[in-house]
Order: sequence, then structure tokens, then C-alpha cells
Amino acid sequence: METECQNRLPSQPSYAQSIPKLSSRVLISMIQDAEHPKAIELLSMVNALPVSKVLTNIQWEAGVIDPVVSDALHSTSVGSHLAICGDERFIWACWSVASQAGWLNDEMTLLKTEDVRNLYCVHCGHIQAISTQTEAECQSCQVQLFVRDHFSQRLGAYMGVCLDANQPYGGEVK
Amino acid sequence: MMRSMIEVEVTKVKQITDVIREFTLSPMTGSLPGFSSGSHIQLHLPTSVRVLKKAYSLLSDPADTSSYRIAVRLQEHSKGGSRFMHERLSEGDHLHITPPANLFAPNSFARHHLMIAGGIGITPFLSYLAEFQRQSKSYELHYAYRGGVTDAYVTDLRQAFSAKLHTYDSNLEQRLDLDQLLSNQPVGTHVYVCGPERLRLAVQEAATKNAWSPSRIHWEAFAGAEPGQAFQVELARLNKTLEVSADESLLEALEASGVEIPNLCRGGVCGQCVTTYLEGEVEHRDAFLSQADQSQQLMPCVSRGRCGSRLVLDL
Ligand code: FES
Repeated sequence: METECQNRLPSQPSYAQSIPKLSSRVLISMIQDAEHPKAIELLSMVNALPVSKVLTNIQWEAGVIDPVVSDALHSTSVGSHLAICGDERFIWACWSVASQAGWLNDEMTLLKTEDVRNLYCVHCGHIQAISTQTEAECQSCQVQLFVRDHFSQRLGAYMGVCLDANQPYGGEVK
Repeated sequence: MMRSMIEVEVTKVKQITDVIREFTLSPMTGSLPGFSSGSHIQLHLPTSVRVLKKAYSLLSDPADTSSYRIAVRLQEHSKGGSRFMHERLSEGDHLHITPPANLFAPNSFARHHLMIAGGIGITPFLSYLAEFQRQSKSYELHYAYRGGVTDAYVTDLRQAFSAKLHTYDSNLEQRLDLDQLLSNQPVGTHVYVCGPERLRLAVQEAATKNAWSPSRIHWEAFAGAEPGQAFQVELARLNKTLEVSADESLLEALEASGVEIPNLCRGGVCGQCVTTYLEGEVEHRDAFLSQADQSQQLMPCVSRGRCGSRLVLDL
């Protein structure tokens, strides 16, 4: 674990392999897919804590988070823990709402389920979903992008930069 | 590098309680450097024995740079600093101070600020309050003191901030229940403690019990170095031996012999004065070094050589 952390770029996100032992009394879990093995593992341990709130079927796609979820994140007290379980896009959409509510990174456990992640095109600002590939075409400006390891927590996306400096634009110049 | 000193005049001395005095320091010309809430300055006090350097929190409103205000509690076992301030320093005197530095700034992302003060530890929070009011921040202040002795500014505070102020007078057996207080703070709260060491430890204990992340806890050590026993220290590279007396710190002894060590808090928290030692037993009193680092390094502003052992510094 330790060496893996040291080798990572500081801007590369890190995900937990499992849920750590918690001293918190309250655990809030935000789960994308309750059937996923990681979610099942998480759900099996939530009962061990005195207070637990499980949030599923979360509306997050459009960058708008359920008021119910937002309320739950705002109305707890310090000392609670938050587990976010889903693909990278889901994780960072939830992370951003939690951060705004005042949660710190060491109060959250991020459990990644799938390799779906967001790619941000630095040329036109478009965000699209990709898998583990290192190259992709921007769906908006058609530039061929190289997927860098650099991750922006604010955008919840990896930076995509023009693969070929001689081909800085796709079809049409925007 | 030593920061350039500023000459100021003591323009007002005001007795706040039996043991607490407030000093207003004004510039010789113009205005003083700006500062942020929670900043402190170092005063250089020309006592009869030596020049003492003492750090004090600025309690005035950061928006006002026409003067600085500090408050000093007379410490019973004073090494001379607070005694000098109380007995010798008067209006019209000139002093040298360092520009303000901040080791205790409020967290700008906090959604709620929880301040806990013990006695004279109220001072940095006076500058916080001015700023929080101006920025309409969410905050509350819990202030524990001994009525009539260390209850500095309590009347003013009651008038200005009654709804957000909670006071605990030990004379009236009013107790601050930290466990209860920290079990019930909204997510996004940061807690700040300034006061005696036992208050800080009690807050830390209650915070741990309630599973607070350590990054939400901030504290200011304003006490400075405690006296200890006299010891000897060798400076390996300078080929010098110094005697450190019981009532001075190792840092003060080094400075007195012409060895300048960078320093900021003089209270074992900022990490500026870190010094490597090669031999000897150390009484570590800092709150900065990890246990592993303490086997090779020490903070001379607070830590001392053990009496009887030969301390050798890599200086
Ligand atoms: S001066 Fe800050 S730790 Fe010594």
C-alpha cells in the first residue's frame, strides 16, 4: 500500500480496497449499485455501527444531487464517516457535494466498483465517460485526446490533451 | 534569516484584571504591517539580565493597522518576561518587535468555527471575532476562566457577542463539558483551542473520543518555555561549550552566545528552530517532531538537555 501511494502522482485519486475499521458512530453510505460485491460488503458492515444511513438510487447524472442526499450530508455531526461506492464518475460527483458540505478527505472512504471514468477535454471543456483506455476522441470537438494521469478533483475527471500537436483541431474549428 | 525588526512605542497600558495587562503598541511613524486573525508578534524585552524574546497574539482587529494590542498575564514563575511587562514597561517606552506571523489562522473552508479559550488564551480569538463578524461567519466561543482573575474582556464580549458566547467560571464551579460539546457539532466545523496545556489535551481527548479528524483541530501554544534544570551543551562544529541556566531556554542560551537560529513561535509548535543533536539525552517538550525524529532532532525553544548528560549539537 505504502509504496503504491508513493509512486502515484499526487493528483491521481486513491481508492480503498475495503472499508477500514471505523471509530465513528455514524456511517453514511452512498451506493451506486447495491448488487455490486463491494456494495454488498459495505452493506454487510453498516449494521455494526450505532447509526447508519444508506443512500441508493441517487440522482446524480446531471450534476444535480437529490435534495435528500444533500440534506443527509449536511445534517450530520463531525465524527461521522462517509463511504462512497460506485464507478469513478459517481464517486467524484458525490465527493464534490460532500466537500461542499464540509466533509474532509480523511472522513471519506472511496470504493471504486467499475472502470468507468470521466475524461475532460482541455480544448473544449467537454466531459465524457471512458473506460481504461489511454486515448480517445473528444465527442464534442473531435480532437484525438491523450488521457493523462492528471486528475482534477474539482471536475472529477482526468485531463485529456491533444495527442498530435500537428492536429490540434478536430473537424471544424470552434 | 532574521526578519527585520520594527520599533514601536507603548502608547497605552491598561490593567484588565488583577493579573492581566493590555499594551497598545504604536508605530514611530505611519502604520504597522497588516496581519491576519490569529497572528502573533515577538517582543524583544531588554530585561536587566538579557534581551528576552516573547511571542504574544495580537488581539486587535486585523483591519486596524494604526496600532497593535496584546495582553499579558503575569505568570507566577515568570522567567522575567511577563514580570518585566507588568512591572517595568510603561507608556512612552520604546520596544522592538518582529512583524506579525500567523501559526493559528482560522480554516477558510470551515462551515462553523468553534473557539475554546482558557483564561488569557482568549487573545487570538478577539482578532478572530472581528473577522468572523465582518464576514458573517458561523461561530461560537466557549470561554473558561477564573472570575475576577483571568476573565479578561468578558464584559465586552458579553455585550458584543452574547448569543454566541458561553462562559465557564471555575469560581462558580461552572464546567465546560467538552465531550458533550464535541459530540454535537455540524459537519464542516473546525475547533480552535488556546489556553493551558491541560485544556488542549482535554479537547484532543474529547475529539478523539468523538472520532474527529485531526485536521479539524487547531491549537495555539502560548505558554512558551517552562524553566527546567541547568545543563551543559556542546556545539560540535563551533567547538564551544555553553551553560544553560535553569530559567533560560536552550534557544535563548544559543542566541546569547551569538548563534542565530531561525524561530517563529518560541513555543515548540512551528518547527522553525529544529536542530540536530549528535549525542546526549534530551527532554523533548515540543509538539512538532515525531518520536522517530526526536531521536536525532530537538526544538531548542522548549526542549532541554537532561541534567547530567552531555548534549552535543550539530552546530
Ligand atoms: S521556534 Fe517554533 S518550534 Fe521552536
